Amino acid sequence: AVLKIATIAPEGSQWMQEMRKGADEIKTRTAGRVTVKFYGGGVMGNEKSVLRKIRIGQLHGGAFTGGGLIEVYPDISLYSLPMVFRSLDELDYVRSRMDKTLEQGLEGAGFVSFGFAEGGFALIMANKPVRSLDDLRGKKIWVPEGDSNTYAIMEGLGLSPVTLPITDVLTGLQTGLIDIIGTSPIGAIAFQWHTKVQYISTAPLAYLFATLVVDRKVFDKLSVEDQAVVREVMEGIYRQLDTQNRRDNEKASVALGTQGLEFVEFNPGEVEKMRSNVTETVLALGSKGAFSLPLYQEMRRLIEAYHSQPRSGAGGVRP
Amino acid sequence: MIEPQRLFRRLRRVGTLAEDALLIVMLTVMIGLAALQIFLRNILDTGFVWADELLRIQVLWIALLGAVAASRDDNHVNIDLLTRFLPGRWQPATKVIVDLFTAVVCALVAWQAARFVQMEHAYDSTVLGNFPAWIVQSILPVGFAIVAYRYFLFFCKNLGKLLKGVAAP
Amino acid sequence: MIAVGLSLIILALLGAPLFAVIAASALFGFYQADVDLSVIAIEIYRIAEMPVLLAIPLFTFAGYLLSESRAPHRLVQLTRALLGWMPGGLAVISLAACAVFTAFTGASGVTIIALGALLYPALRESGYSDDFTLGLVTTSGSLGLLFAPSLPLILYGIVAQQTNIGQPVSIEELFAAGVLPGVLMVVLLGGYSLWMNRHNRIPLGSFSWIEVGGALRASVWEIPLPFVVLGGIYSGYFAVSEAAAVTALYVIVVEVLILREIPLRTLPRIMRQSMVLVGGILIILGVSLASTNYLIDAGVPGRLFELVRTHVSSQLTFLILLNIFLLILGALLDIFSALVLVVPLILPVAVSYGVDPVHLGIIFLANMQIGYLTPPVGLNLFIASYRFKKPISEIYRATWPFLLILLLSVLIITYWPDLSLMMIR
Ligand code: NA
Ligand code: NA
Repeated sequence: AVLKIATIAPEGSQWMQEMRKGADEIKTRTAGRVTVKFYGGGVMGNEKSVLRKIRIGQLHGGAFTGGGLIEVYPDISLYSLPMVFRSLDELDYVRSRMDKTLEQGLEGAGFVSFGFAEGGFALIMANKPVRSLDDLRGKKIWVPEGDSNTYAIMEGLGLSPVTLPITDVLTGLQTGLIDIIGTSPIGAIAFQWHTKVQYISTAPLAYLFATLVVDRKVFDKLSVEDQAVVREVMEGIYRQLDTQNRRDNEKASVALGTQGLEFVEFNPGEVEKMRSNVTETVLALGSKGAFSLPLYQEMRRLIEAYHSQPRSGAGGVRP
Repeated sequence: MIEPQRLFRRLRRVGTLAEDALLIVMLTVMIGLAALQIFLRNILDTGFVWADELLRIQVLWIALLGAVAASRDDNHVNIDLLTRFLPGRWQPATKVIVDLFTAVVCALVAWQAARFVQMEHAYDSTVLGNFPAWIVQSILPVGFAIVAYRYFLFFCKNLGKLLKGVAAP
Repeated sequence: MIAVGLSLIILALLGAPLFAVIAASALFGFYQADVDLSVIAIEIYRIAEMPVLLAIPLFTFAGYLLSESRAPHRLVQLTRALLGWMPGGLAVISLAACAVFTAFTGASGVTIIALGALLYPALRESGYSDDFTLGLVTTSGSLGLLFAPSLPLILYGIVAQQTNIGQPVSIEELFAAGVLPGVLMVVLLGGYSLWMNRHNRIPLGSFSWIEVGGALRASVWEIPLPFVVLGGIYSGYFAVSEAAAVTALYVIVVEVLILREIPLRTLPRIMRQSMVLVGGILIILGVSLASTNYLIDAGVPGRLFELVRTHVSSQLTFLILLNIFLLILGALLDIFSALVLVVPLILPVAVSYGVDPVHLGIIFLANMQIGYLTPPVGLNLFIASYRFKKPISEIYRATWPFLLILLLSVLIITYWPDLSLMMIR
């Protein structure tokens, strides 16, 4: 069988190189019964197009960001809700206990997932230091077009979001059409946005991640042994990418520092003030069915559990 | 009681009028919306989260409506290099072939587009937040179907001419 | 397979609408590959997922309005007053204007339909031959891809940045590297225009400030347009993607409300006419997305490239084959698909042959630019034929001298790396 998988990761990127290596391994270990073909660089269209092509069977799977699968499985947006996590430790604790639930949810929605790969926390990047909610007021804050959740949250905070396609962000920063963006260090460097900003606020805004899914109808047709091989190889790659990306984000952070960008902290209490406001909007979104509220509460409970546990055992080593 | 011929003509007139009106309204709204977006952002510090997506959907509608309007006078981009070297009496025959080909291809695309729209309906795809995507996407099958129909009419007309030409001498 | 391909070519040459031919080839390809044919609708629907396309209807409409007003005439008066002493003065101005316009709109044919609508009557009125004018306007449609802030240039930077080659490529460097090669193209084409029109000039003595003043006063409403657009972008009042809307609105206000050269009641007709043109072009673009997608699904670009790579021994052969490969590619794929598909393939190989990644970007885009003009399938040729209502054979004939000049400049750009790199060293 041939598994045709699309991704927006560029050809030649490390991500793609790992994936192709994995494809070779699968081919050898299944004695050629399973070939994985990758279409990188977004040539199959955006995530919505890829989803459509999976439905008609032209493609069999794709690498999606959390946002790309909301239509299929709304709860996938949980980790990426804004201002949920305060640190990577919190996040690791929650992920080590919730990844499986989300993977099962995806499977129920008809997609086999091979795990989640970290993209890092989106951080506020701007031309003036941002230390408080007031520093954000009157500034033009970029929101990716069509991202209505983030837009609603910005408006809830009384801020002025500006929607722009990704292609316009670089010139938008250059010309002052937007003043503030939120992205991970890797993302800022990849799109060269870091050349147009001077300050990075360290408070995590939202967690970014990606997942590789394959249509369950197609996957179920593989023999049980072949399924096991594909799972083992792909899950291995995703686990590795997950840890690799954390290191890459750290490296990217350092690189941003050496290139003269300055890291600033929020004033004491500011983040919590924003968080309580944001949480209200998030809860409103949840009660409108944007995600399952019980699962959201479960996530919050886990965060509290992380803080109430004895200090010595802190930190979640993810499986 | 109106005779069918006249009813048909009247229907066609209403149809082309609606086509033109829709095209013009689309363009006007497009200019207005884009300008409004700039105004809101710079003067009132606010915006409209769906403006970009709405504008892009309008581009699709203009593309299809424009293509439909272009088919009215058989005014689509073509290469037409060979016909000028062919003897004049072959022209009607090549015209018939080309019209039939275009009608069939457009009908095929229209049919596939209808399947696409049906699928989007089944999966409850949405645009602009919560608006059903299939409504917006319907322009695809409808547009291609009208183009197919127009080329089918050209085919009939040119076939008539061809047969008359064969019968005449 | 071959029979179907041949029949489609014959149908195209017999005058079948190009979009139908391309749609048929995509349908046939997908049918052969056993892919559900509704993919063609998914691909055409991607028209609604590309923000850059918004500029096409808006600029086209603005161009139509300008061409229906007396603006072309005023442009002729102004250049005659200022540059009448210089042979080919208006031609050189047209080249420069098209280059700047394309830098902002990214060469999707919109330069020809929008700016060409203004320049074609102006050039004809200034006494340029029909062939020369057609060739110039068609060629100018893709000129300027190498100038900042052209989107393909930015996209190359982003793709190159993410390809593992161990060498950084910054967009600033690309912007700087594109300047001289871009200027080279404009200068060579400008030189040709001067030579071709060396007899078409006004004697030097007739320069008059009064005439200049009069022409300037007459164009007082059109002159600010480029400054409003560029100024608006650089001061952050609107995005590049919104500049087209501002232009359209400005032109309506000036030509319809202030100068009143276009009666309000003719506006619907102009709107309809311009949108018919836009529909004709976008529908081709839509089905081309499908045919491109078929080529990608079947892995054609990769196989083509393998073919090139197996015949390479030196940097020189590599560059020659690269030029040929890119010219073919430019004829087959749209520029954005070509960028994301092919750059990651050729970049590591090019670097291993000692080609600078920034230089490669300039080579790549310069070749792609020519792809818009290469018969039989150069998109700009069709658009010009469509816009100016000329048979395609006439466009071929009018364009080939310009094409040769562009080929010459691509060769210079390819084999003289310092032309691109001296600005960044
Ligand atoms: Na071409
Ligand atoms: Na092309």
